[in-house]
Amino acid sequence: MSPVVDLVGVEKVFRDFWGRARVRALSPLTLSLERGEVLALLGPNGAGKSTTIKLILGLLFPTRGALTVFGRKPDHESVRAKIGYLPEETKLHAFLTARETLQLFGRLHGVGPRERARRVSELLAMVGLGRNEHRPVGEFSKGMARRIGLAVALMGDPDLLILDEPTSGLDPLGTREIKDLIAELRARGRTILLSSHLLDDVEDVADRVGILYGGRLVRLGATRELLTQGERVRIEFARPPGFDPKAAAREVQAQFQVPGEVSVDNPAARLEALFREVVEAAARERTDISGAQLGGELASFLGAQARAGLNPAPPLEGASVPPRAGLNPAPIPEGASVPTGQPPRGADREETAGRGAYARAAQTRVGTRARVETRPPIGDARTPGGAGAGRDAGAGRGRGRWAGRGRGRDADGGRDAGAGRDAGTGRDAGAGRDADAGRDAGAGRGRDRRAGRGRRAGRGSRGVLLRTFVTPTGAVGAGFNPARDDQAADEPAEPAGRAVLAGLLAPPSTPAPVDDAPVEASPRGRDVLTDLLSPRAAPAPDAPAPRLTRGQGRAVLGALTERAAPEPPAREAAPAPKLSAAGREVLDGLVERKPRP
Amino acid sequence: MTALSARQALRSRLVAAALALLVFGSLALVRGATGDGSAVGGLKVFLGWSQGLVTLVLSLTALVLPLSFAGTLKRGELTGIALTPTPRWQVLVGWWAGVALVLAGLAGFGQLLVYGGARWRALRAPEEAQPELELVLLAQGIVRSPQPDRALIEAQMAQRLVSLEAQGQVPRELDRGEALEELVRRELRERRSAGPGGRLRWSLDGIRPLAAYPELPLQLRYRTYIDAPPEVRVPDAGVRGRFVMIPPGSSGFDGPPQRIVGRGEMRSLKFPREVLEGGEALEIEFQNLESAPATVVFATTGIQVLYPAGGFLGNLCRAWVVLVGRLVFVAGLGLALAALLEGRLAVLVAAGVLAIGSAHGFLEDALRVNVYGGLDAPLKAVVHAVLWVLPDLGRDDLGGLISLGVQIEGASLGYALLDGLLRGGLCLGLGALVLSRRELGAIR
Repeated sequence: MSPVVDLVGVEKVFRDFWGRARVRALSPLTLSLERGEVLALLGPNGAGKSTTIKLILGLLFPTRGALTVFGRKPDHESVRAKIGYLPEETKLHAFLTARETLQLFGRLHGVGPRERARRVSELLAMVGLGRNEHRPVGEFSKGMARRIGLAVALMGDPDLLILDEPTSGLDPLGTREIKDLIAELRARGRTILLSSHLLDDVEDVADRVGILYGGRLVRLGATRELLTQGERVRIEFARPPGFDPKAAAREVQAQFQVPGEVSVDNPAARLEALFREVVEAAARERTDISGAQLGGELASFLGAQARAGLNPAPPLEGASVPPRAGLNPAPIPEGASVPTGQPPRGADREETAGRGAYARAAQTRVGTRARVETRPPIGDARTPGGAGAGRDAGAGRGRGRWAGRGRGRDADGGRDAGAGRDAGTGRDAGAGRDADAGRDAGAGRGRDRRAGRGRRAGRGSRGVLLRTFVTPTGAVGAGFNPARDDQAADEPAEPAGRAVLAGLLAPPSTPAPVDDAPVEASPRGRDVLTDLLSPRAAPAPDAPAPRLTRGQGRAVLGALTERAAPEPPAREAAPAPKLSAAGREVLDGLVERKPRP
Repeated sequence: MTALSARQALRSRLVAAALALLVFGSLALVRGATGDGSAVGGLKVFLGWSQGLVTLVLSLTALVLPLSFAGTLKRGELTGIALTPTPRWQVLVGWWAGVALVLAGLAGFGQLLVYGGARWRALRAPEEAQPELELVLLAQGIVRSPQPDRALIEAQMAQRLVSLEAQGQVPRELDRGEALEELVRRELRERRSAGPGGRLRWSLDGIRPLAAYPELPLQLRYRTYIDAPPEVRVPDAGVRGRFVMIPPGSSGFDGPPQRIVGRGEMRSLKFPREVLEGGEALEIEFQNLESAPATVVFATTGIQVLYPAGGFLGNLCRAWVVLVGRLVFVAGLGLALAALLEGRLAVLVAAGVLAIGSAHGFLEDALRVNVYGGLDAPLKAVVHAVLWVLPDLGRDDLGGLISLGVQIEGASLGYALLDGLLRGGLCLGLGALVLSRRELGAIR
């Protein structure tokens, strides 16, 4: 198959008015970009990254050499129809509103009125500008302008997405969303070329990296190959009681006769993770803001071809099914699969994910020179059996790492909203679709509201109210969208979730609406129940105590338990409960006002 | 792109300034235009100036407004648009259409101001002035006296020259071509001159006054000069003369004897429409009643008969069409230049082109004179080419026509529209060609 982009000996010389060579922006450059690949161009200012991109876009013409995109000249109309471009600086007509801007570009892409309206709405929600759709883009902050620029780039459902400094001007959440989007689009067969100065971002998402300097391509290769330091080793484990780092270092040095120094330290959360946590908590408070909201789910039209099998991208060796590990995970496309019980497929992907912000935040590192990393088996999100594997894996890793950060009690008890949040965002490699997610789904404010979406997305994942998704490492998690609380509030719950909700929302005097027969609980489920009913789980003094009967707790447990019996018909037929004010209060108390150690 | 372009244009300060200028200018003219002090004179001045103001302001607006495209290019707003499958020429044409729409709207607004101001002035005029005003607030058709057949005259004069040469009456040193030219000039002058007691007669056809204006008279317009020997003192009041309107097959209607002023001014004479007797043809005879040897020479344009042919508002609409045709061309030119040049340079070039287009007639006159010696031929070829490419923007003096109550002819409408679309389209085509080959986002 011919490459999507093919540059052979391309040179670009800028000339002055008299035709004299003024700037040699590119020396002969040979580069190709395969379908479904994410290639990052790196380089200092003036290295030729933007020139390369503009050549590919057909905005500039090469001085010498051959350049084809999709087998044609880049300025061909059919080629332009397949390209989406996010420029380094978003330049749009300032007086147009966000919606009008997208409408304009939809028309220019020849999208019909009905489809255009759908795309516009989905894209606005996806980039978190749904509440700003009627504001002129000239009033947008830089980050918001980037978001609308991204939506513009995606309006034509491009096969090749070119992102010039995509995270420039974005807050950490936006940056994360861009990275997640890149991963997801790549999974859906899209080819992505990006340039960035933020090397961490590139490292997280790129399959290959090319480094330009002075208009020359000085390095090109797979990200993992370029970054792996085979001569270094890193070991990670949960910190045992009485652990002496110096002794451990000495022991490692003695045991393996390491000639140099052995260092031992503790992992630190990245500021990005902390920032995300705080902002997401604020978002759950439904604070009305004038800026961009958290991004929504991926627009459904993106990747429609891949779903329909019209133009699927050939899987690359070492690639995994990309995660929509964003705040609002999208349904896993039909045909996409997650390896079950296998180590992560893609060395690159695994490496990328493992070094990613949220995975790293959850790590306990022993030694920083290298890392011995094996990702847990990954469950299939679409089958209960596969989900089981995923849950175990996710729970084990996730809690262990949180425990390493001193949050283990909550995590173990399954009541840590923080863990749940991470699970919800799916960015924490440790947060799988385990009991955490399920319990949070039942108990967490807002998450039950996503149950309707979860029912659609997470078919077969019993006991999990949230929609399922795959984290960058393949672990299965669940997500929610705080920005969409209002519209999701009335959506019906998953049958299993309904039981949980019914139990939680029923007045104390009301008999439990679920079967009070004993249920076989998993150890994890027992932990949950114990924690729910335990005095130490009582909410803060200023919060109303959640009233939960033991039978209701069992219902919760039943919903959360692995391999729970099929839902009783009566429960199936029960109308979906809606969240009353009292229920919301209870849920808030369970999730938000939990005691912290 | 059309809607985007129109919205951008409407948001520009230039349009706001143009609107403000039109409004305040019209208000000032409504209140301040006095002319010769009479109601009709004031109205004519108002109409001429206000229509001129609309033409001038909108021409400048049309010159500058498309250059927002250059700004769009410079700011990079067009880059995203250029990356869509929509061809660049369509983008340019869409932009043109948007600008043209806004200009057409502005022109319509300007015409409404002219109309409103004229009606307001007419309402405030004294009752006795109303008949005169009616002849101004009208679209009068014009029938001109036929021009003499110059080729025929030249042939006749050539024969006469041969005859004169045979008689030895032509000096040998006189160039034959110059002699022929002089003979033709004299003959033409003779045919529009009436010596003492002499007569001139013209046949005019196609006079079709609208039945909707039965009370309004027809008008005869003419311009004369007095040619008299130095010893004959022509009074300031002119020489005595009389026009006679003669319908075919009739004895005709004698106009009153009057003084024919020889200053070359356009004069008008009203006469009842009944002289047409239901037909469309009329013969007009001028009789020189002066006994002194003073010859009345009519202008080369001959005489004109004006008749009520349409309403004032309709005439303003015609003026609007002509104006829009010109503005469309100017907008196309500006856009083409904006696609090629940096903004300010494009404005400068466009202004130069506009000036040349407006001075079309002046340049054509200048081309008749040998100025540059050996370089004359090549330079004139260039100027001819320029004049051929550029439209004659001064072809119809809209303000003059409106203020005289003269109907803007259908040919003018067609010429203006075709000119705007064809020449503007030609400019756009060149601009699109440049734009399609232009690098966007290059280092400058």
